Amino acid sequence: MTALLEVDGLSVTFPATAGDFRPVRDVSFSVDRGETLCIVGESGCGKSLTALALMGLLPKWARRDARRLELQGRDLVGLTERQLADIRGRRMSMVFQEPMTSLNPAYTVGEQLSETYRRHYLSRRGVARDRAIYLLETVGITAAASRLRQYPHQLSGGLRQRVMIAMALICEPNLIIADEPTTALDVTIQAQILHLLSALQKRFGMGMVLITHDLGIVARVATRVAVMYAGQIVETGTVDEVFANPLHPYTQALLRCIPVPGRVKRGEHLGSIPGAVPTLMGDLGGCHFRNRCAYAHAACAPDPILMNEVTPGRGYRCVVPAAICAARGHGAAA
Amino acid sequence: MADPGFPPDTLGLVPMPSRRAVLSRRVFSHVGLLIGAGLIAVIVIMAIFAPVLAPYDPYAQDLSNRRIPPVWHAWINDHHKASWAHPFGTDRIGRDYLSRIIYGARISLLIGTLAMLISGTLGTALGVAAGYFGGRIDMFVNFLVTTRLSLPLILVCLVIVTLFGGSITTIILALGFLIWDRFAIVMRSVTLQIRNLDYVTVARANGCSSAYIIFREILPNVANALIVVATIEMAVAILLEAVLSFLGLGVKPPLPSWGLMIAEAKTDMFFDAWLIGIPGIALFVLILAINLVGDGLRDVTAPERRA
Repeated sequence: MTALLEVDGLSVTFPATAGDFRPVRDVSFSVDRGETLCIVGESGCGKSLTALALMGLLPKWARRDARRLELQGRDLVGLTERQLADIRGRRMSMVFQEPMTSLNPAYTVGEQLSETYRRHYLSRRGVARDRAIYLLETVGITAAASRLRQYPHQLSGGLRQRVMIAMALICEPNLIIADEPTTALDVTIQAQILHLLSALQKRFGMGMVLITHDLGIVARVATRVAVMYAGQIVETGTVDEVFANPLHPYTQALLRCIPVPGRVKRGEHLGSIPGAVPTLMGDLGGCHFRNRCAYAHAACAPDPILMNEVTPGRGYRCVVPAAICAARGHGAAA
Repeated sequence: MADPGFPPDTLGLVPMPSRRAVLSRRVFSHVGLLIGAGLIAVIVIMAIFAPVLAPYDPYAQDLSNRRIPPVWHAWINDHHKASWAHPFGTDRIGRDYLSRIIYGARISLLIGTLAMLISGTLGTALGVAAGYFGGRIDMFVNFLVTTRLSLPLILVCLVIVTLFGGSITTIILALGFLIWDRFAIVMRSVTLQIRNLDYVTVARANGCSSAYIIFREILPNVANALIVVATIEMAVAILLEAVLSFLGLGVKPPLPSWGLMIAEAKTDMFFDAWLIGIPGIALFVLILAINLVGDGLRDVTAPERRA
């Protein structure tokens, strides 16, 4: 059986006179039912654009190329805007980063929830209303029926994000894409929302693509991880594999940046990666991380680095053999 | 779930007043809106029930009772002819001025409303399309707007009236197709702002079509800008009609247009100033009322202040 979502060779290009801006380059991954794939990486490495490209929500002047982009075996590349609109919200839906601006201020919560449902199921108002109440209860909002009559500005950020999740789930999509769903929320609410998302994902057996820059979130909810750097996926694997045995120097460096209570001494500097992400214009050639990598040498520069598959679903993008990479990773951790 | 389990009725929510209650509370606490709406209501009732309210036929001439001053001249300088028989007096061919003012409200309101509706529909459609779709459509609309702005209103009206004659229909159509520029410009910029907001992206992510997004997501949020422009343009249309009629390019005598009444009275300005004053005040009050209502509606319907 094929995976729920198959992405092969996805690229996003913004044509410009000074040279093409290419924020997403040849990204491939797959997501199964009941699985959470976390795409993790620092700001500006193409995570959010990958999500928008999956949904077909890129700005008009952007170009999306993919060798394969399939949801439940259905090709998403050649679809008309109308066919795509039928899939959005029903087969796959998205939770956005900013709950404060993602709800239309002119309508009540109930209107917005049931409109999405009625868009796809053409049901009567009463049915859609019951469904909206059920989903608000599902996402943990008490007194759901009275919340339906409230306007977005009457809700807190956490509640709004719950409403957004309810809206994303209202048509029982198979795939949910969450683009940094907790970034705009404070820490206690973050934990609740994450907990909620992964509980719902299990309960409805959905596939989930969770985009984040927070490795703590990854450790808590992911089944599998894809680490992105400068538009490319540099390492993939299950969450245990990547955290216990990071292969790519970037992943290793990222993990070194996390303070561990007890081991990091008071007043000690936290780890950091020197340098900055390269500008994603034109062809970068070779390894994208070579200007910041502690182990970079002449072999990193000339040719594009391919993904080395260690086992199916476990890969890293580096010229160095896996055994040596693994040893470096452990050396770093020790 | 993660929420502490308050029983629903002790959630700490203030019981929600209904939408209608909220709206009516806001309307009735807005003094400007109430005054404006009251004045407009009076003028609209005047216009609708003109045949009942007007004491005389607005066209009936009475040459033995010409230039009777309004009733207050009887109190101020003891004018022997001024009386309640003609509260606003009569004009230079003896037509009752009050009746003409009452019938004139019909013309002003008709022209103002219809010209505003035509230009509003046209300008909003163009502006929203330009803002939402951008690219070539935007360029085309901008071209239309600059073209329109380069046409001097009065000259165009002069040509139209020369070609088609100055009937109320001509004036309505000419104004309707000439004053849509502000609608287009304002709607374009507001739409541009809104189309990049997250909730529009969310709507697309939920499978909504462009038409649905324009009508359901964008229009309600530009509505209060639209109301303000619409009232301004209605006032502009009424004033323009008065200007055109004053210049002889508008409605034709003997129709009791307020602008035409001012024009007809201009030779009497230094002797019987009230002949100009009364229709002038009528115009002023109507425009003021429309603007008060526009401001008030904007305040009351602003989504961010709905509570």
